[in-house]
Amino acid sequence: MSSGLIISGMACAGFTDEGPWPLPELVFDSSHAAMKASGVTKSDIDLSIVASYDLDDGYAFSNGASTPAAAGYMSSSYRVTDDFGVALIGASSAIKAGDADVVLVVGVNPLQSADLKKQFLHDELVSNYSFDPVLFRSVWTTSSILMAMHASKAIANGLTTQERLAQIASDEINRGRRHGRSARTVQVTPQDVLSSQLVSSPLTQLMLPATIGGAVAMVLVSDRFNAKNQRARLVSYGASCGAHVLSNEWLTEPESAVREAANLAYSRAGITDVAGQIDIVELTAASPALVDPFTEALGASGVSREKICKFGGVRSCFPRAANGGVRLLDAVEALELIGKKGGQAVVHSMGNLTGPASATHSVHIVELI
Amino acid sequence: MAGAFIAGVGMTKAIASHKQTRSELELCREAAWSALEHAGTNPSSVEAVVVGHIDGLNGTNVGGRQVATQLLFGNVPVFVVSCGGQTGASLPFVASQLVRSGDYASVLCLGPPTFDGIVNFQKTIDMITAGISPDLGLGAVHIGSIFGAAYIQKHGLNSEIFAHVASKARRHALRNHLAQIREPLTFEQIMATPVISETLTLGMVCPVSSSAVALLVTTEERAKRLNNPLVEIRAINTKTDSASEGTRTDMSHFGGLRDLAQEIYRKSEITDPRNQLDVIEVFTPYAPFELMHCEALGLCEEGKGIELLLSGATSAEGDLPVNVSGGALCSNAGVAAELAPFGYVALQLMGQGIGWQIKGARRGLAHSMGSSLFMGHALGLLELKGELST
Repeated sequence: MSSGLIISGMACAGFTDEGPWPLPELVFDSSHAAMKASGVTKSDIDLSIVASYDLDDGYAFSNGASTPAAAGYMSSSYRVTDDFGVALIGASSAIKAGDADVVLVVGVNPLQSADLKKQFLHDELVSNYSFDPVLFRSVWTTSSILMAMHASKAIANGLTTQERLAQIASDEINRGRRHGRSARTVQVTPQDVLSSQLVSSPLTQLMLPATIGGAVAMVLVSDRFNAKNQRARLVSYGASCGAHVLSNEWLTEPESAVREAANLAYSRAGITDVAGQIDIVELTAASPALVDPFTEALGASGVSREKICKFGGVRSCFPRAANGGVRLLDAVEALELIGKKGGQAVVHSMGNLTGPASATHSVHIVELI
Repeated sequence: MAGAFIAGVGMTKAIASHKQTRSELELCREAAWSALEHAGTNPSSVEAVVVGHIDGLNGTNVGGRQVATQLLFGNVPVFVVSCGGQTGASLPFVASQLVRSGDYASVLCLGPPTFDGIVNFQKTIDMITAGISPDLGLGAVHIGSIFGAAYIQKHGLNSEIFAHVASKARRHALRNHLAQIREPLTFEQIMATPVISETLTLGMVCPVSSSAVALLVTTEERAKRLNNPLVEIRAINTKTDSASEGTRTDMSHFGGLRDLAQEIYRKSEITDPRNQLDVIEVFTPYAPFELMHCEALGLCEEGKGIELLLSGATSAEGDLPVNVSGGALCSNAGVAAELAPFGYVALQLMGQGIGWQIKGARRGLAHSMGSSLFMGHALGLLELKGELST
């Protein structure tokens, strides 16, 4: 076994306006499709890792329902309650450690309601449950509230305006609206964004991530496995965790953990000139007020806008625990559109249960084969 | 390929969950810092945290990351693992891969208490099978008794044999100052406790405890610079059966653990586990499980677990002690209790056993299990590298 990391197959399930879906079916459908794309069978899989949240899945101990569907029956597996990008680090580690040659990673978000308003309230409730019950939950803290406070501060400090936030959101939504996985398919103006339901001032509904149901599965193999199909190479990764909400880092410098993760990933990949060496940037900025700080933290301020979140990013498609998978898939598809072998993308992802607070940020560098 | 080593162990004393006055964070901080102190290092050496968590049982959704980010390790990445009762031993599994990948030299595994903030245990258990099968009102203890019933039916035994398991656990825990239950109960006394679910009396069932456990997993190079004898995680893996009762047609044995053990033995060159292993800690929330685990681990034939126990071989004074800590029958704080077997076995191999010290122990097995229908198992083989200093 060796440490080369090849993305052999990637596939998704869901991502339509149908749903909610039964959790095992989403996991099975995406896993099966990814394995088919890769040319592997269940017996080839050395380790299955699922990324999901019980409260989103609608089951207690939901790994019991998802793991066997992810080719994990009577084999090695575990589940992380975090973003796909974190699970992918686990997969990379297993291969680099020599424990596995083929790892299946699945991120899933089955939705709990077909009604978007009900789903939004569900997501807010889950977010609220994810905060400390005494100090934060009791005053209805959610990730949206944290991001609104951050955006307010940015506006108050003259770093941005609500109109500018609306412009960023509408640009992203319009960029992604024709993409097959997009949850927002209608063209919008900045005024439409400003007129959408106010969630927490200054953030409106269309400024927040577009939650959608779906699953993303990836077959990651070592370069010794000799996979039939090789789509891209994982060059390196970095990870860092945002400080606890009590620290106020989420308010004053939420990009801190992004920078740390990116610097590590770039260092491991030997990237010294992001604008010159990176062709595509995918980031997870759950509020438009985070786009500029996160872009800067990724060292991508010099990268032209059309190369950043090519298909609209999280404002077009945000399948919660599967987010990192979609960001990676978007990046690979964008590299394939460019068609440059050896082209590289930087992919930043994180969960959004508590905004940037206590969230592990992952930054992966991926290269087209 | 580089190895992963357990360099430090920290555990808090288990007490009844409803009597706990300290927060999850306080317990985790004590366990984490004890592990670092035991290893002879400090928080700045921690490069990643792998924390366990069980949603629906813990009071805060994915609360493990809230705890991990309040332990003053800086912005190190946090990996939250959640696989029901398999979670605890999955933590060193993930940590060992992070370390052996070469990307992290020092990873802290953190097993918080699971039951301290629980509001409605039965509601959570009911949601395990949501969408798969009707709400049967089953609790974990009922599932445990189903395994016990299947076991005695298959082997023509009766449930009295489980009292021997519980009595042994109680005797072992007498010397473990970290255990919640430290009152001896004889075979007769255990049989006289109330029946909880047919085949299981109260004395054969785990308590609901509160404690935290932490392990520091490092590279060999890092471990050599720290305090303790070198204990290597020689092999570790997980195995997941089905969560559906429709496909678990024989509940008299743990086939997943049997297969997993064979794999672990193969990787660590164990050909005769009965004679090559020195100490074992298995996760046994219900008394029947210890017998079934011993059989799945290849220590005896199926149905002969009770003979092995009655021979005295698995007692603290025997030649293959099992659960000298008292195990989950005397302390079960959820994820903490699932991680604890790794801590107890590592301490035995370091020559620092709590209560009992198994003389000359060099190799041990640590195990946890759980999730839906006890479908998941995680098993690790730990080995002392080099000699203990006298």
